[in-house]
Amino acid sequence: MAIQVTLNIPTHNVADFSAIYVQIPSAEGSMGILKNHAPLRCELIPGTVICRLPDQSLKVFFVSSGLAMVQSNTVTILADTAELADEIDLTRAEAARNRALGRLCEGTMHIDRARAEAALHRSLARLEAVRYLKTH
Amino acid sequence: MAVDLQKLKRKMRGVTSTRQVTRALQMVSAMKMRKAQERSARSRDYRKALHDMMETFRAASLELSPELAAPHSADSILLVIYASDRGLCGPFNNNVINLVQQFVWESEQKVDLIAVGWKVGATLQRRGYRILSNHRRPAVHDRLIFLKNHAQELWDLWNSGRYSSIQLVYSSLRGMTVERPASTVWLPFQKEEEDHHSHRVSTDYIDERNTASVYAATVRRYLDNSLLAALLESEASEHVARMVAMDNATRNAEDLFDALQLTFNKARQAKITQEICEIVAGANAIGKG
Repeated sequence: MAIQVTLNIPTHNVADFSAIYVQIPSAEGSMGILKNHAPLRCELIPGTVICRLPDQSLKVFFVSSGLAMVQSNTVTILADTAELADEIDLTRAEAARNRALGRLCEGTMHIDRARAEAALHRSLARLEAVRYLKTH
Repeated sequence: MAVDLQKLKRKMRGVTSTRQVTRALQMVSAMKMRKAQERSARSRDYRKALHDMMETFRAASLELSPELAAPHSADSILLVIYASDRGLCGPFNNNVINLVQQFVWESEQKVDLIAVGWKVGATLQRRGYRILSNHRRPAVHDRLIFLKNHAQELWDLWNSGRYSSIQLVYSSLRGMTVERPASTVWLPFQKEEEDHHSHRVSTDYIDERNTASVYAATVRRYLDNSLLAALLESEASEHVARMVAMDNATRNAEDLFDALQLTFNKARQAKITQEICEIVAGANAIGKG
């Protein structure tokens, strides 16, 4: 019996599929969900959602912050943004990280530091998603 | 007589071009309306899942964080208006403007306005209302960034403690009819009543980190998402309103053209008859002479 995974972003549904294992980037750390997990609600921070499908293949997503709810073998992820790791352009992702790093390194007077840090966090999470896919 | 005919011809040509423009606008609006409705429909998955998640918190008696309640020293109301950048959409913008005017008239507190929809913002500003900011509607690809900034603007204003409530004004769509605009309260957040008599067994959830923080995050996202919903509804309504207005304009142009055509034909025939009369009279005069 598989876990039904639904990944939604505000504009549309990104994915809806069955998995046997789901890993989500909760605020308290990465969390793995197997079947018959106890009901759970949590906040998500930017990170990687890793799912192993019944045919042993992997589905990897980058998600920025959001919420997740687990109940009766369904995992519902409500992310602010999400991208399939396959579709992330490595060059663009690295450029985004460099930009974020640049903004943080330059004078902190003119930028909103919290926003710059969040942007860096997101860009690193995006890169992590791509790297994970490449190494698994 | 000849001058009349030329004038009529010119008028007919003018009406024909007008008709072409209104028909083109009608078709464009129909296409935009379909896309807007599609977008609205696709956003429903997230909204429904978010609503379901909110529902799971209902059973527990949870305290809302104090920042969501109305501040004590507030003396004003903030209205956020969603309408259109451009006209040619029938009574769409006017309905919104009338609602706002009535609201301000009836309100005991001062009312500040934020407009998302250039035309309405500009009109209200001309009429002397206090507009804090007038935004143009975001393009589809800019929408998420716009909403992030827009939400931040509203939260900053709320946290300033000036407003006792922030309300959203927009027209929604029921089927293919544009409903009259209404105002809905965005903040202070109105929790749904706790359902003590529910037959639903309340599930015991594990909340990471804790229930309060997950609830706060859920409420925050629920509120931000309702801004997206307002924007999408307003957009779909605008396109329907424009489609209907342009359809009416096209039909009016066609009717006007037919009437002009009739007048033209009558005038042309009258002219021909007169010329024949003149010729016959002349011929008779020569014959007699």
